[in-house]
Amino acid sequence: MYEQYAGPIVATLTALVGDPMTAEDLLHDLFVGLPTALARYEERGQFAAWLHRVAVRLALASRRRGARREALLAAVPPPAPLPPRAEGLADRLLIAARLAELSDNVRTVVVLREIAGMSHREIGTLLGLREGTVMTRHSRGMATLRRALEHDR
Amino acid sequence: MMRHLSDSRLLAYRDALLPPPERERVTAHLAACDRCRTRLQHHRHLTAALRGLADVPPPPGILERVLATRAAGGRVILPVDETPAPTTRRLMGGGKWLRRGALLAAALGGLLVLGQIPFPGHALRNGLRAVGENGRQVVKATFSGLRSGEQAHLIEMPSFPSLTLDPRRLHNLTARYERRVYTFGGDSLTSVDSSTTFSLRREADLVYISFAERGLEGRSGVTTASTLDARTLASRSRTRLEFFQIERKRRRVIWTSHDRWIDSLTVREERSVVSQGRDSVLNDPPTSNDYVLTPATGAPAFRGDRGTEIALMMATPLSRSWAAHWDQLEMIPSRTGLIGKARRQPIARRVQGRTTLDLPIGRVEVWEVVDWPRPFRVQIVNYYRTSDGLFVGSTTVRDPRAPRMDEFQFADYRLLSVTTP
Repeated sequence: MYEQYAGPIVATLTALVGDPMTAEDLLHDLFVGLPTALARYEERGQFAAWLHRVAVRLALASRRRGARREALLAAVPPPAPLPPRAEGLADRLLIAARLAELSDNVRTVVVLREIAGMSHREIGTLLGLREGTVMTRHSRGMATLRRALEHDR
Repeated sequence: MMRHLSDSRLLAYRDALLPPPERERVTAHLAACDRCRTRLQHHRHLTAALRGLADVPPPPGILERVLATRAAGGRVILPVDETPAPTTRRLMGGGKWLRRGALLAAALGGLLVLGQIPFPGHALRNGLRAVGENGRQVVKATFSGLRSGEQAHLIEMPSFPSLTLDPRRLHNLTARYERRVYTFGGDSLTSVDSSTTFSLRREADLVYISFAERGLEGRSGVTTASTLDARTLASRSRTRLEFFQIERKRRRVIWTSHDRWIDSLTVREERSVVSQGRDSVLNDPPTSNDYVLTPATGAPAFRGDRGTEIALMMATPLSRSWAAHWDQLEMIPSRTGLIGKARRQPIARRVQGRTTLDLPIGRVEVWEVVDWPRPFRVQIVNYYRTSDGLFVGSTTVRDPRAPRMDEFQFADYRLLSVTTP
């Protein structure tokens, strides 16, 4: 199960929290708690999506906790982007870096929509936002990314 | 001609979220408008690239950690409700080893507690070790005055002792090392004593470390002193720091931080070197350098003063292969925090268990990285050139008459005391 689901989940987590180390810790927590949580899993929709949602909630909670720490770390440069694969190396690094530059709110929506593949409504429910707000943030984030990448070419 | 399409309209079109009449209008516009068509293409490309970020293999080592945590009784409560809820995390603190530790402490009446950490394949050694006779590595540790609940673990490494500390419990810690270094020149053996004191002080969740070293005058006549202040933000439950004293003459310390337990480490090194003696012409004015080290999955990122000289090391876990270099970095701030032009001089490589040294003239350091709890080892070998043409180091000496490296081990260390007020 780990083999099957861990990769995409850690990618989402990393993009959400910005830091590969935290993402790995969250992944660890997710799988430690999974056996117990499975008992409460109601067969509503796909398992992968459910697992993803739980992971996202973990990430958001962690980010809330991390807010104070980030004030302390204000002077520290942002962490390195995701480990890249051989092909399209430069592109991946660039994308990851540009993604990290988005504000938390916007990045979360972009990540959930584009990487985790959630619908606007699902994202809205998860984050407690109106669907319209989700769409706005999504398009704003994509526009920023698009302009930034045009500039990078 | 219609005005250009907004990004949100393009995205909705791409995701087939537009009602049919509008969709047709957009299609028609795209047929005629290069700019919007290109933009749509960019969005598609962007999405593909973002999806590509998800195409990563599951990170190694996590599964081991998960199993170990579960075996140690750790638990995590996941937020499975459909409404966002805060996570409660309860991890039992490895009950087994804490208890054993406490017992030992009681038995030894104030001597340091060391015990078994519940990770597979890893055991701490005792803090006391017999003194060898042939000048081989000696570390002797005596700890006194520990406040109840405070723990320090001594990990012995071939060259340098290191401490693992639990910063939540630690208020103050001072440790002093005395070291005697023998140098082999021609037919004579001389010894140089030096002592190192480091202390840690915790305030809230910042740990202040200061490191002071005095070289006592020995026959080579080198006296140096340096102070290193480091701050670490410990966001996890434990902080592990290892520091290696690398050069006798220039007194520079390179810190390694071990991934998930340290988010960032700021090091300010203030160094003043006073040296006298025939083989030393170092009269550096006092300098101060700031380093910010951020652990990353690849090479560490550094930020510091211009012209700062930093040694970078890269190692893979399990220490089957690593490479060591000297990098002279010109520090230039950038948005990603990774700075500078590096002129890289290779020092040594270890590939598949075979070590190759690419020695430039002058100083060389070679090392492997130890990680915790993943078991790979640390070993430090220092090479210097003296006026006799010998390479002399704190753990090895190489006699040019002898064809092999690592022929002698001659340094011994004593850790005298660790006290907490």
